[in-house]
Amino acid sequence: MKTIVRVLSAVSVPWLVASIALAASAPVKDAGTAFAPCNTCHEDLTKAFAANPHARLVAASCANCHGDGAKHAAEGEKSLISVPKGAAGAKTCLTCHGRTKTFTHAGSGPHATAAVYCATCHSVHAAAGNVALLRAASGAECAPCHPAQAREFAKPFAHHLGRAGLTCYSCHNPHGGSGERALKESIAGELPCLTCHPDKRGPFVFQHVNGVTGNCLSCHEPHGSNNPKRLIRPRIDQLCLECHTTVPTGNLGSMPPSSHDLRLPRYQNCTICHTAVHGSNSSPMLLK
Amino acid sequence: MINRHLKLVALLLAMALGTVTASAQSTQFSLGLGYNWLSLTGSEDMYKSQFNARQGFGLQELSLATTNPSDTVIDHLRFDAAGFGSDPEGRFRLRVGLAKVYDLQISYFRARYFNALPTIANPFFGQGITPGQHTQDQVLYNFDMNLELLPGASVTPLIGYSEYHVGGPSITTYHVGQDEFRLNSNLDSTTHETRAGLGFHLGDFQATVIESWRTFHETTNSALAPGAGASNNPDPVLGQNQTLSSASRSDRTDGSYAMTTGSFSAVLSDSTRASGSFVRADYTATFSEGEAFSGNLVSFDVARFFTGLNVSGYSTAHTSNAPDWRGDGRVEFDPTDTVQLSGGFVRSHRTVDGFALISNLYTGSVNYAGLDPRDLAVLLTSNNAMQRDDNTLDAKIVVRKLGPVRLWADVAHTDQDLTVAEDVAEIVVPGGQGGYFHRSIKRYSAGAALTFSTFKLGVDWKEDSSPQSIVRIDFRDVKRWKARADWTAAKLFRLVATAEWITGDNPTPDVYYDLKTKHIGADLDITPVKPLALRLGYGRFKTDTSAFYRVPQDFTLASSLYGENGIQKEASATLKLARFLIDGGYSKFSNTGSVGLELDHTYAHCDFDFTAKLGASLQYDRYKYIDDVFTLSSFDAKRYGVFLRWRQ
Repeated sequence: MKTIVRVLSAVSVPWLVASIALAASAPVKDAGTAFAPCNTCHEDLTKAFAANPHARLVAASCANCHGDGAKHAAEGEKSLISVPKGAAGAKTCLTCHGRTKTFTHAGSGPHATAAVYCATCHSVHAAAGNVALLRAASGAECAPCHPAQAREFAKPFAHHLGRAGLTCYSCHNPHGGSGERALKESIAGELPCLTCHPDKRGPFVFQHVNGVTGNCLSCHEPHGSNNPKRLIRPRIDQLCLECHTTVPTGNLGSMPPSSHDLRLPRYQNCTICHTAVHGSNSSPMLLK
Repeated sequence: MINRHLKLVALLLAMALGTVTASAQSTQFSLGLGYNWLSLTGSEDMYKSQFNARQGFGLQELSLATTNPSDTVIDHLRFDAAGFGSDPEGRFRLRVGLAKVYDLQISYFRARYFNALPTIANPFFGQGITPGQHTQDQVLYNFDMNLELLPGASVTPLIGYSEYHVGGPSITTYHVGQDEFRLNSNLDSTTHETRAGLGFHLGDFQATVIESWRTFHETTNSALAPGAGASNNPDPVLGQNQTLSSASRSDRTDGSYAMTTGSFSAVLSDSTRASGSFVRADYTATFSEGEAFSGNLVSFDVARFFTGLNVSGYSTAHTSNAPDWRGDGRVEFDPTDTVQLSGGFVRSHRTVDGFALISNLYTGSVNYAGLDPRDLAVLLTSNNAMQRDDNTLDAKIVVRKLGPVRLWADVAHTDQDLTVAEDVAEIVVPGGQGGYFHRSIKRYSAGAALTFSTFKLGVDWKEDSSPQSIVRIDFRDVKRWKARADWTAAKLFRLVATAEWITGDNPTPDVYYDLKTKHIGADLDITPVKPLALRLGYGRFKTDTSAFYRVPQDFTLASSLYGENGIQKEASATLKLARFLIDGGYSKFSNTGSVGLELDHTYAHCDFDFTAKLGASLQYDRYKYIDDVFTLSSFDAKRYGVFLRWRQ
């Protein structure tokens, strides 16, 4: 394996650099013929569109989305061309894009009811700029409408939004979904947290929360928190005791802790002893 | 292993890239590389726990997009990468394909996790000793590949592969002999996932069926940390000093998972659409564990009394299973252009079940049960079986184009059934460990949106109510209000203001769980002249929660109170001239609730284009963290970066 990697390194890297330099000096494709006669009046639009992912479709033409534009071309009247906007525009996009599970709730999801449609976030004609033709990169398009959530990422213990590709849609499906908050579940129907934290997945012989009595969000803030480890409480004992206390309720988990003296720091930190707090295979008390 | 695979894939792709870009008709390329310097005063542990950016070379951006419709191997290619080096995270994405033949997407993500916090798992916090005894310095890799063959055809084969790896050193604690000891630990966790399936595109009917296989392997090796043999607690227990002369522990988990995923969407008529999805995952995990300790300890294991114990061996074997499934379906019907009706259901089921065979080998100990103390096996089957079923039905109406107003309303009903086997501890203290629990939740929600020229106003309301709670922190009633106003005035400014109120409670007499939270905020973007953009932001949040609990040391009743009262302010300016861009800003986050802290961020980024293709960036970021409770956690980090950029 090492030899293969070395040989490929010696060949491919100079080859790639030389090719990019060659490609960079080549003229950009003239979009004129592909999008005539629209390019006569919409030159900038069609030029950008030539590098757009839509343009690589074999039958790509303006008419695919705008319908027959012959009358509009002849008379120049704006009302004679169909411009997909709003809910009707979304239907046009979903003709091709509505094929996968990702888009099955696009019509009735929370964005649709808030009058947020495809073109609100995507720049349909743009040259290949941001991933998925987004108008802004790395979730910045979400912040204007969700400022409270965006500000949570400015808290001291937060996921690093915007760094190296971590975006809102790493965890959320902006096109809607069947679950709460349109979370982007894994292929096994799990919360997206487990994609990056698979060691918390289980199943464990002795479960703690773990998708049955709650989930990751029972104890953690997903975006950012004032508390270490993005916990919802600053002290671990406070977090644990809100469920596990001897006050007699009929609730699950209202089991008594031992008579630990919470005035001592060691007992304010339940996880010093109950280390396997996400689940254990050998300790019912989650001690290991 | 993942890195070696990655190198091979990267180099093969580099050759392919070279081939396609050499003949490309359209290519966009950018590369930004540079060096970061870090100046840090104060708590390095806290800085690394929050940011973990280091000094060194870094990749600011690498992007390549190329199309060549006449190519017969690759007609489109896009590659984006950022991070790595001095940044704690790095990622690349590649999308390459040929119309109607194949579409390949590859992504790779790498992140460094560091955690060494003074207040977490720290028995000596009261003595001002930091960090805590649970620290991590681990790395995560995530490689993902998806290939669609014959895109656009009626039937499209789908193939995928993913690999995840988490590993690295950590410090943990281990509870044995009625005391805890610090252990050095090393985690190595790898998940492989292979997928194969078919996509169907038959007119107005689209569907996908994918079968996946996942394997999971994890090993953790731990050993007594140097100098930790005297335990955390120097006081004798039952007259016995707790000491360890050596400790080693290793465990291994092997899991296998088969998963089936299906989804469909269908246009039944011009006004009716249906969609649905199904996922089933069968998890099976086997687990083995061995540990050896030597030293003087006291143990209450299996409720028997040992004195002068020398634990020399311990082994366990476990298996657990968790078959899960979830299905949902939805129908949307538009009786008129302005009205949409929709209804749907979600059903889910999760079972977790397992047993543990634990063998303890004690020597030199005394017990009063008449057993051979050297070999004691315990089969545990209690408190390891749980089952949960959720059923949700909902119906929604959306009225569009009611003049400038849009209205919607939704009603949903959820039934939760949970069965938990009783714990062994139930024998000692009954109650709260297991049983059958049922909870039904009614949800009503509604909203209105007004659009008037460039002014938009939206209001949402949602209320969940339930006569039962399963765990103490389940709310019996939650109300949420959200309002949002958005006003754009020509190209001069945009003002967005939002407000959110949430109240929740569980008024059960011995719980009294109560929550009140609110956020308000406003953002103003001003563009007085085209090259200059100004931004001002203000946010305020307030949260108060309380819940009854019993103080363990004196059994008195008390309230667990938690509050947040914070303000966020930010201001930034961007000036873009022909070959020059400067972007600077300041943000301040402060909280005066249960935890007093401040986090200030000051930044200035300057880009200059020497030529149309070549440019440079200078970057400055300062993070100043002030912890009001534990001042030793505060830090002041300044990061300077110089980057060269080549764009095509």
